Amino acid sequence: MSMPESPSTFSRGDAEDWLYHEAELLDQWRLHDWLDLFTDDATYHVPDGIDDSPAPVRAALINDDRVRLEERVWRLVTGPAHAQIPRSTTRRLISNVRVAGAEDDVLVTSNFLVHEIRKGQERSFVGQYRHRLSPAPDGWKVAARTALLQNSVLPLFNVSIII
Amino acid sequence: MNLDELLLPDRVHRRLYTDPAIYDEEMRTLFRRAWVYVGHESEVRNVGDYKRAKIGSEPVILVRGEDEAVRVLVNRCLHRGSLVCREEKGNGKFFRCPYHAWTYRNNGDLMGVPKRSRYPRDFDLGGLGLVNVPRVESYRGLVFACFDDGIEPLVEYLGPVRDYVDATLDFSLSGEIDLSAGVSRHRYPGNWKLQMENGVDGYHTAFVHETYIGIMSRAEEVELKFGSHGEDQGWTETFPRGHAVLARRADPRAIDVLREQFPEYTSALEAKHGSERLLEILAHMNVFVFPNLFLIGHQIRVVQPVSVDETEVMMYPYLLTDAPEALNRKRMAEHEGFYPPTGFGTPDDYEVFSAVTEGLQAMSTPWLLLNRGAHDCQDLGDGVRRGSPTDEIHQRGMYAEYARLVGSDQGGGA
Ligand code: FES
Ligand SMILES: [Fe+2]
Repeated sequence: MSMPESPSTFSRGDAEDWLYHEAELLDQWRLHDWLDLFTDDATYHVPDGIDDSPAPVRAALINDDRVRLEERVWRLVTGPAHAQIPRSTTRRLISNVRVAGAEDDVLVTSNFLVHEIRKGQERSFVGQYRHRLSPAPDGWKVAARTALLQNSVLPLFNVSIII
Repeated sequence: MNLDELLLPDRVHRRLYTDPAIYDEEMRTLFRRAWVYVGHESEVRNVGDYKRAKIGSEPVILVRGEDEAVRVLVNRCLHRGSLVCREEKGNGKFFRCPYHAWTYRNNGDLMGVPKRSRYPRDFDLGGLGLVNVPRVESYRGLVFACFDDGIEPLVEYLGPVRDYVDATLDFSLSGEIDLSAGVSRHRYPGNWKLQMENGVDGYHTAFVHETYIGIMSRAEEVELKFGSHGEDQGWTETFPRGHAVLARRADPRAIDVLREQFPEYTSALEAKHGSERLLEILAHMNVFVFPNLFLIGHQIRVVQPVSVDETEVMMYPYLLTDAPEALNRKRMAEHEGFYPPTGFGTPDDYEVFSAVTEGLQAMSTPWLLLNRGAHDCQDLGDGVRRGSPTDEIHQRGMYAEYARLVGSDQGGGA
């Protein structure tokens, strides 16, 4: 993992290492460790795919602040959420990584493909991540994480994994 | 179709959820004989606005014509069957079929046929407009359509459930709502009637939504939302024509809580309706309009059958016109918390529907029981009957209407 001593040199390789680490935590269902990647005022956003309305107020698929994100993890890990009995397994592929740098935070965009297997069926979710990362003493933390989920234009059966 | 062996007053046979022939019969009878919700007027606000929908399996277009009238046109070219409208929504003066370019005005009239000279001169194109669904009426912006010309007017069809529709929509000070905030789209592997039964089911909440209640119980407003959860605080009602409600009284403090956050809006509501009615407006209501519409939470929910064991559900969280933006934002956040496919509530419902669908493969055990509370319900007159919040009185009412529409050979079918 990349350390914050040299933020201006946060490279594509650093971003890839960070994203692979995150993907591994999610695939291993280590959701509390994943939560530790977020700052206290972090947000996690998954907009509705058809977002072409000029309305000032929109409903999203997910619009979590830190508190709701913790509730989400509690529900999936401890709950137990019915929609996760039995549990899903996932495998994530991350590609097309780009870094737009700044001194004290960076915007990392990437494409994702998440395969989910549950109850004898396979599904996949595809889209783009936008991670705004900021440096902290113990590594780069997520200030804002957005998943532009292309599947969201479809009617979806329960999405009870972290996208 | 004879339903005598499939539908008893207190139980339903598994074949109603598994037999494709019964599904076809529902599309042919029930969805053509009932007033079916097709959309909201705010979705076709301007001349030329259109939106696709379905009446059962029939593809239709809800459209506002040049004369400002709202029509429901069958989305099927009179030539050789293609959809004439392929976009989900949009604005235009006409619909041009993609196949051979027959072109229709947005009132359905056929306006042009390419290379017309190869048709005999006496071939009458005048009658080949898009089929207009014969009956279209709206109530408080909710647009319904029906293929049966002989059906009673919409307000009569709604009957006493109108009071609950009014109470729900009267949380908007102007009385108006707007569906522009988006939609949660769902698809579950199970029959559409599982959603019909469940949308007003007060029995499952404590079990299926245990994690949601667990999360809410850490939040401040839990007392107001779930404090009145007991059997004595709520009720279910069944109405003529299969409509239903599951309701819980608002905590008397609800007005003050609202006033703390939105003082002006609350005072205006109170001035308009009085505090007694305002408490009714603030009650927690799940309202069902048979066969495909719910008003639940902050959303309009549309149930769309796809096949005997596949269903789509669209939930439109609506904005209150003229309400403070912060109030609308709060409502959207509450919607996001429970209802989307990524929410903390609905995924558990649909997981259970999927489990029911698998369970109903058991031919050894054909009946689903709906007799809860049958020994103890109150007759309120005018066909309205009331039970306890975890009773199944309203599901029994839905199936009485179902039997009337599907289990008879009256006209209206195709
Ligand atoms: S099918 Fe529409 S023009 Fe031929
Ligand atoms: Fe539910």
